[in-house]
Amino acid sequence: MLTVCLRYAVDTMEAEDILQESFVKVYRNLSQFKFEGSFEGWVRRIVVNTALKHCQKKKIRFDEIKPDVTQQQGSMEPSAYTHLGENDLMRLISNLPEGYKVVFNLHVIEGYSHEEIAEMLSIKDSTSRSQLVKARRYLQNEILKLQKTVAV
Amino acid sequence: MTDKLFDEFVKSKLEQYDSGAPMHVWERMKKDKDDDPKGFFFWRNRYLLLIGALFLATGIGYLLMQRDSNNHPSAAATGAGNSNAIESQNRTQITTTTTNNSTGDKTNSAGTPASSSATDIRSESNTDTGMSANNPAVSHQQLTASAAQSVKLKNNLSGSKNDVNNTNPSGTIFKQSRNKKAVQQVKNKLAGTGNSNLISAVNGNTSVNNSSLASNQPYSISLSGFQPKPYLPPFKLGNIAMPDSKPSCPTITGPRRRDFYIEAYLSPDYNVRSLSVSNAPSGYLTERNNTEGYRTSYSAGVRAVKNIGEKTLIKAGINYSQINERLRMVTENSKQLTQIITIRTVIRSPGDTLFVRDTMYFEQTGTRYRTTYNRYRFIDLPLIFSYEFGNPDLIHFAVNAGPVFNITSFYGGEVLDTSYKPLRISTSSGTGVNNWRSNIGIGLFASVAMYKKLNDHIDLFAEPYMRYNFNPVTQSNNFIKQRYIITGMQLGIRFNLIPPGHRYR
Repeated sequence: MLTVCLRYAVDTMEAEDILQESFVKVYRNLSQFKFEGSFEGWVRRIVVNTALKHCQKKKIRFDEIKPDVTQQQGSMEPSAYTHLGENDLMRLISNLPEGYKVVFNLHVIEGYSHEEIAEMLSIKDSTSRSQLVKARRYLQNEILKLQKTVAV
Repeated sequence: MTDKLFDEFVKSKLEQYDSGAPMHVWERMKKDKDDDPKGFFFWRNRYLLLIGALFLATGIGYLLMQRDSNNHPSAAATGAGNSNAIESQNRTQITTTTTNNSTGDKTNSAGTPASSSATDIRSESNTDTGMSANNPAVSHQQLTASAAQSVKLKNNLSGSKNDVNNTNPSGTIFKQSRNKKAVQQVKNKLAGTGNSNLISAVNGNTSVNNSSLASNQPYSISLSGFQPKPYLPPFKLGNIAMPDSKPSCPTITGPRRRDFYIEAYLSPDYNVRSLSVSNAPSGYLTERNNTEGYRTSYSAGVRAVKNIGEKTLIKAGINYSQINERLRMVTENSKQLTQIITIRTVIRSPGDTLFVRDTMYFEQTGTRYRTTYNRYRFIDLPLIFSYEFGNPDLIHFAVNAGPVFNITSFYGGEVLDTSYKPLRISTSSGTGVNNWRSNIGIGLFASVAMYKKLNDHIDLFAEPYMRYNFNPVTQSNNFIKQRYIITGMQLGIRFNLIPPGHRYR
């Protein structure tokens, strides 16, 4: 669950705060768990929602990405991923702009649809879609840069 | 690589990624978990305490105002040099009767001439001094008795709820709530064992020995003095339903503001009085306006403020407001008749004491100035809806509006009646002009507030406001309609009870 928190938080300290708050909520509301679905899923949902609250406290903006980044179509070769470690990927995701990061995590990792994300974040579906596309491009470019650095 | 493949790649990579939480996080969780129930209970009780305090303050204020409402008009007479001098060593009873050449009313003002000093003292009597004066004012007290009832709820096995103690080897007792059906199942299972003692124990509202059931029953009911088995499976009954409520997952629409404030304020007030008469002697309205003047009024209150949205709040509390007016009358050629009763004690010999009572009257003529301070008091319950905007960290503003429910109104002082005589205000059972409401009903409150943040907990605010009362302070059958529109500037302090880190949940 700390991994989930790390994907939404700016740094480790914030992630630990989210984790702590989430688990305390789980503990307090344990009696309300209905044994419908997995317990881990229920806890994970609480963690994600708590992380979203933390993000929204900061009043995240869904910024437009810079043109030079969007126009670079990541011609990603499969070989570019071979040496990509999990820690590197986590770091790249953490470095995403807030809006991209939240939408990317919710859609790609948590599996929420754009409609659900729009409802969760009080944004439009189209905003969620565009943020995801831009986040994906941004991430692919960052991976390419990272691979070039490694190659050099 | 397509987007879908990329997404799956990222997901598969991160699904395997695991970062263990450091130990200090678990310790913090444990501390937070242990602290929270106490804190939650404390906050919940604090709200109850606040409500209780508001009611208590209302009651005390009401009693104090009741006591103050018996104020007397101050009166002064000029002319013959009045003084309340009483000669010592004589028991002198002075009764003063003031005769007004136009009204003839009686007051409690006393005038004692210097001639009282001429009272004869005939011997070395060891007399004392006392004074009694007629006082037309009648005071009354209201005694309120309250009775408390305590209700004891008794749980037994035939009731709807029972506590069944389940004891583990370490001696910890877990309490589980059981319903009537569950108890019936216990009875049925006990019946299956053929253990009549146990059945009777259940029927007789006693507990069942755990050890005697361990071989046949997967559960037990605790008894005093039993020896617990090392292991007891949890109590399982099929008809125990899970709670219907959904898991209290945090809202997905974002963090919700959960501020709770206490506001206390004082306000200098200015009142606009609207006085109209429907069937009164000509000149009465003019005389009222000439004799009555406005004096500074004020209001004070405490209210609880809870946000109901990100920028919307609801406020409720207790407000006390007082309107002060002064009635000043000048009556020329006023005659005042004073009765003086002097009682002297003469001890002629041991056991032979003689009381001598002398009665004398004197009349004064002069100009009488009569000043009465009228007070119109209101205790209200405002229910205000507020919309805030601006920067909460610096200065922010709020627009407030809502109804004000009058709890009680009470007045003190005097007004002129149709014959231009001062008449004491009474809210009890007055007639004619002296017919006042003890509750003026609903008013409308509107204000604009400016808040200046001092620190994380405290804001100062200034709130110009206006309150319009739909009903006058006079009864509907009174030919005078006396209505007030109160304006003022509430100056106060707002205290946020929620710690800064917990204001968004």
